[in-house]
Amino acid sequence: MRLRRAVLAAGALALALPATASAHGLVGKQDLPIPRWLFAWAAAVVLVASFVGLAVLWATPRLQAVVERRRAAVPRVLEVLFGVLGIALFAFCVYAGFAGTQAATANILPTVIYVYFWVAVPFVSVLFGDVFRAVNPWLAVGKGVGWIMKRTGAVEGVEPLPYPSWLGRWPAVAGVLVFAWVELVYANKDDPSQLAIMALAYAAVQLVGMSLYGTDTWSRRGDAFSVYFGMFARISPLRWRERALFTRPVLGGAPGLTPVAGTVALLCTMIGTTSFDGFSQGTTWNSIVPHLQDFFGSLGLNAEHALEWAGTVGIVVMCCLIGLLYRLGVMGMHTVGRKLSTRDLSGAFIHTLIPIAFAYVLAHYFSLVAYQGQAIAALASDPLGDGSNLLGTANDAINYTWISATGIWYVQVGALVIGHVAGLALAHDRALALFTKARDATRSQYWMLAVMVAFTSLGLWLLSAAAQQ
Amino acid sequence: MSAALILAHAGHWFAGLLYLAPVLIVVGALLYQSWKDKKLGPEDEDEDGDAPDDVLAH
Repeated sequence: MRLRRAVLAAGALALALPATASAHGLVGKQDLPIPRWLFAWAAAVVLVASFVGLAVLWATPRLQAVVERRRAAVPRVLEVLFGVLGIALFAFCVYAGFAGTQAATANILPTVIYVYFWVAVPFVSVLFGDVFRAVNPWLAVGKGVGWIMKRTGAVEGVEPLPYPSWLGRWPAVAGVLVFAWVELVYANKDDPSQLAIMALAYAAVQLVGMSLYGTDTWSRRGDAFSVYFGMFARISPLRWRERALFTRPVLGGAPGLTPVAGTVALLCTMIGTTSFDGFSQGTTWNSIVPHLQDFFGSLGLNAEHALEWAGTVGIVVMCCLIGLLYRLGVMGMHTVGRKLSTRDLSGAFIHTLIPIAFAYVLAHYFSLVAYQGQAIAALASDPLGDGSNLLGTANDAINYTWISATGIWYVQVGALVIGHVAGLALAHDRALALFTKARDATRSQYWMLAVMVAFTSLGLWLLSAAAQQ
Repeated sequence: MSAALILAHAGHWFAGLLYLAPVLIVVGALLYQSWKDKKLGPEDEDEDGDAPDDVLAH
């Protein structure tokens, strides 16, 4: 009776808490039938039910070696055309960054980079496979130069250096972290000319990497964006390879992820940076950041740099926290049977974080694409912000009413729940392949269930906290 | 002063705890299950309990 009264009192207090708006501050008031925290409880119930369902109904590994069916051939000319298109788009965006207005909202470059490149490409990759590879400008330049040098005999007898195994996906980790830092922490993140310089610098690094280790090897390991988008494409039902289109089961590409050096760090960085984006908009971070800023200010930094250092600490700590959470799950799994080392388990289950990373991206950035994405119509007509109206759409306004704030919340919750259930399914399938006894496989997954529930609650809390601002 | 600040933010902390509760419940249930499993003792060891190499090689 006392417990019931306490639960009712807690519920009443929670219901009295102020309602919050959606992340990124782009939408209005949500009209939810239940308090937001109750969605986290409901999501946890869905995950536990899914876990039980998987244990009962999914008795043999199904995704470890999927069959890919060849559906269509891709002519070589298309490969060349898409490559040229990618180079042209890159060159034009860089030109716009230098030659256009330096007002962030009027120049096409910031929107292309932060909305279309960073957020929309992962959405497209999950739906249609690794399409970025077709338009990757650095890869296209590298391939083109390689083809010319081969034809002229300039590289006869010259082989690319062997890619060091210790390097693995670490260059991609560094690239993703630096990009996220620029997006979330850097004071001049919206400055078009600065973005154009950074784009050129990144392209130069990629060309050097490809010239040293070969275009294909570098783009699959070292090119941060190629690796990042390719990771999401692994859960797509479509796969492009050997100039052909193949179909496979959804999630079927994820178990094939080779856990080379840096892979665990990459997935944790992908989730951690998105998490920090939500966290940095919340009240908790905003109550911490003045203290950090004061500390860095006391070291002699000015206010702007002190704030950047505070953000740097925040983003690194968040990535480490995500890594720690995953590590705890792996350590829990290690207690089952104790036949597999934590290192083996860590690599063997890391692909289960791919749908979670995507769920975080979708949940955190859906409203950004839904609203700011529409700005492309006006920006494409006036890319330099000089008053031109090339397509007649320069004055098109953003329609903020096509989806309500409540609708966005449901998309966010749905993305997080589906992403984590997908992660559970991948983990369950891998456990069945790793543990010879079904009982051990299920017991090992108790810990992944805890990790998934933790990630789901964290995701919903971050969205909620970001909205309270 | 700091106590007053903490109290002033009690609503936010409480809301945060509500998100943490499902995690704590699941972890609590797991620990209970592990304790129960240990109490029951180990199952028969299987002969070929090591993971298949091809799976770890992924």
